[in-house]
Amino acid sequence: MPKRLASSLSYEVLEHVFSFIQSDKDRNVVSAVLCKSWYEIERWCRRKIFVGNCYAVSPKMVIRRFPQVRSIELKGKPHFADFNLVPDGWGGYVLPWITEMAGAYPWLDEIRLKRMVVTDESLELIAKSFKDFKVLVLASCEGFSTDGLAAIAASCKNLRELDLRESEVDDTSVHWLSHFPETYTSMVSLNISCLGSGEVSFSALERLVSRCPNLRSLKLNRAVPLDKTANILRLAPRLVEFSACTYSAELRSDVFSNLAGAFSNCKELRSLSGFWDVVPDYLPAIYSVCSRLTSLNLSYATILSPDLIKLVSHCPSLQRLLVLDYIEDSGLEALASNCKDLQELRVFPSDPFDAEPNASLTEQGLVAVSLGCPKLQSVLYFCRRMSNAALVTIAQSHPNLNRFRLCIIEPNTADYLTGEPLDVGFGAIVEHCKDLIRLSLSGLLTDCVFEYIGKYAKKLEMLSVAFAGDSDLGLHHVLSGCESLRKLEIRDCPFGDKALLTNAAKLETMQSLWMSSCSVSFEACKLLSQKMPRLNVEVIDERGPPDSRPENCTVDKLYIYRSVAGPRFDMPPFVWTKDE
Amino acid sequence: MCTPLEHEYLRFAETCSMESSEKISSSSVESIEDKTRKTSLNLKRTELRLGLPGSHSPDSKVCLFGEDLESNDTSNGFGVTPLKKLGSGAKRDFSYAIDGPNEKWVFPCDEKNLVPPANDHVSAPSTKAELVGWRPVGSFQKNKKASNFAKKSDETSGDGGRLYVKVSMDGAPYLRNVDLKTYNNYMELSSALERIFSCFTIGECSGKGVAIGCEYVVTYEDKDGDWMLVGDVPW
Repeated sequence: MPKRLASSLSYEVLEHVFSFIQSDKDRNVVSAVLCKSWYEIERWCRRKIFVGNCYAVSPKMVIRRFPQVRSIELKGKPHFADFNLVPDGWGGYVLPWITEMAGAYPWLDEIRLKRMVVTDESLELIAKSFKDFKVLVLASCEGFSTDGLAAIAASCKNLRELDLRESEVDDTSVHWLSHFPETYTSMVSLNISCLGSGEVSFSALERLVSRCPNLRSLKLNRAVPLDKTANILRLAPRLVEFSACTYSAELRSDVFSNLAGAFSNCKELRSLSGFWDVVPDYLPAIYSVCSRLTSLNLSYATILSPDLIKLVSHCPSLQRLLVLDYIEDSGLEALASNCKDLQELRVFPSDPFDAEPNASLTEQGLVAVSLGCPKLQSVLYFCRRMSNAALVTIAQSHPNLNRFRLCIIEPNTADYLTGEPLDVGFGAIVEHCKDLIRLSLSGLLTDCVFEYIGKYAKKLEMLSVAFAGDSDLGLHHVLSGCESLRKLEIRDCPFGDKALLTNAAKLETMQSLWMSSCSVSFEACKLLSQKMPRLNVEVIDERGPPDSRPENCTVDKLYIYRSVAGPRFDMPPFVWTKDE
Repeated sequence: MCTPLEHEYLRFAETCSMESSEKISSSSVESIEDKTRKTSLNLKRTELRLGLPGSHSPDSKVCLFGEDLESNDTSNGFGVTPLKKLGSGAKRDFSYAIDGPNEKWVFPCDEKNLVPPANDHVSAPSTKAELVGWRPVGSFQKNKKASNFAKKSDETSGDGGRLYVKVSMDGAPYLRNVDLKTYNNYMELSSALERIFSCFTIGECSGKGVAIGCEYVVTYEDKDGDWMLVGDVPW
């Protein structure tokens, strides 16, 4: 861009133009690629920051580059932490970030955290430091208690959103909800579904709901009984999202009609979840809202197929369904014929550790949904058998799939029709679904499937692999072929030093690589971290110092991520890096 | 299809070998299906090379991993003069090409840095000591399901004809709940417990059930808080 043209646009004009560029990727291009004055202007008017790995950059660096941030999103532990693969104490502490931002960003009003360790001290610091604080999302976080929540409730007068989804909260018996002052009326979205039964007081909850006219999303925990549920719904008839609570064991017609009446008042309800301990007899109470529902999360509901079929047949507008395998193939066939707008399907195993299937759910259900729902884009499916033919059918009928995560429960399960590996089936998925950004593999897989992935999956950003492959060639295909790869997580695969060292440079273009129970030696890890200063190479091994074991011993867990912040200083004793 | 062609995947400034070998056609899926598949790859040799990009002259080639990946032959092809010139044990120099995001690195190989061939890999899952985190159901989901049934077991039994009892195994990351009414005797219960905790055990339990040539026995804590051996009280 010619210099004179750039300088002829005033600061205010450029700032206004930049405000329309919302996506992080586009903002990064604006600030990094074009010219110095744009870089300067952009950094002063950037309001929203996303940090996918809290150790990739330090809070001081972020503050220096972007002095006027109002909203930050941080992620800590790697994804496999969800499956207990990351030992406690590994890291992901948010306090250093809050401490720095408390001084630098007095106008910070949104903090969104995922898989981080948040202490009461951090919450108290947030409550104290940010006068106009509005949004706190703690997803899959831990380390805090109801004391910290009480501090937030007491101080954040303008809080609009408090979302604790899937976090672990310690109960200190503080009635933290009562700490919202009587003058507080700003709540728009409250998600406390993760809290235990002792942590919520109904009367405080009812008072809170009744004085917040803008409440649109309410996800309660499971301890709220049915009659209270009806009361709360009547207090908040403009809810868009609601998490329904415990259903009592026996059907009582007065409770039923009260509940049905309360639901029918909620004309704007679009999303329902919860349903713990639901008794099918109460399900008709929600039929009045079903026709407008776009999202239904039944993954905690032990309802069987006939009742599920009845339910989904009332929901023609459904776009998103989460459900247990109790739905069975027959239920998925009903879904396919009723819900033509379906975009996302997640089917979870009701009893993942049972060797025998306890529900008649096979690959046929997924094929039925695939053939019947033209808008399907995102799939997470647990099942016990699969065939290449089914995968090919799914791939051919859905070139617009962008997320495909298949978990065949028993490792190394072959195509049940032919006994062959599932390479061809997954190959079809990556070949046909050109916009695929996330893929999880399972079943019997050789190096071939990785060759297909490396060749075809050019937009793939995240790949999860378990019990697959034959040799380093598999890993090499992925690292050398997948141009858009950001996150790669691998467990129990025969991938080792060669592929890793050959593709060392690739690792700097990715956010992170996780390898556990693979064949990487400690020597290779040391070499990699010596040669690649912009990578943090962490060897996680609770068995003891990696170099105290025989030379041929492979490391237990390896987590490699790019970082401009250098090595971290908060590592526990079971993490080894190059300075050790 | 993965034909057994040369897979010289470790080369400088060269696009991935599979593009040159044309194994996968981008035509219809039927063509992928029709082709035969081999589950093992017949690699002639895998090589690491030292040298600047573009210097493909065989003279500058140094074979560091001269073994066939297929075989367990560990006599490494190190008898090449250039490697000896570099000396051993000293900190190695290396060259690399920086040509954009796909820079290719190679590393000099110390004999000490050698690792066993890749097919000397992790044993099959069935022999692994533990399968932590498999099945990959989110831990929140697991906790919720566990606490779902735990709540039921805290209430009185006879709830819909089920009798849930919490079972814990030391070292397992979470407890399990079992419905005692689905079993007819101790034998069935013990084999069910063995099955559901099998992903955590390292020992073998004989299928004959408790206390018969078995490393582990099943015990339970009764209402007095005492640990009792299963089997004394009739089912």
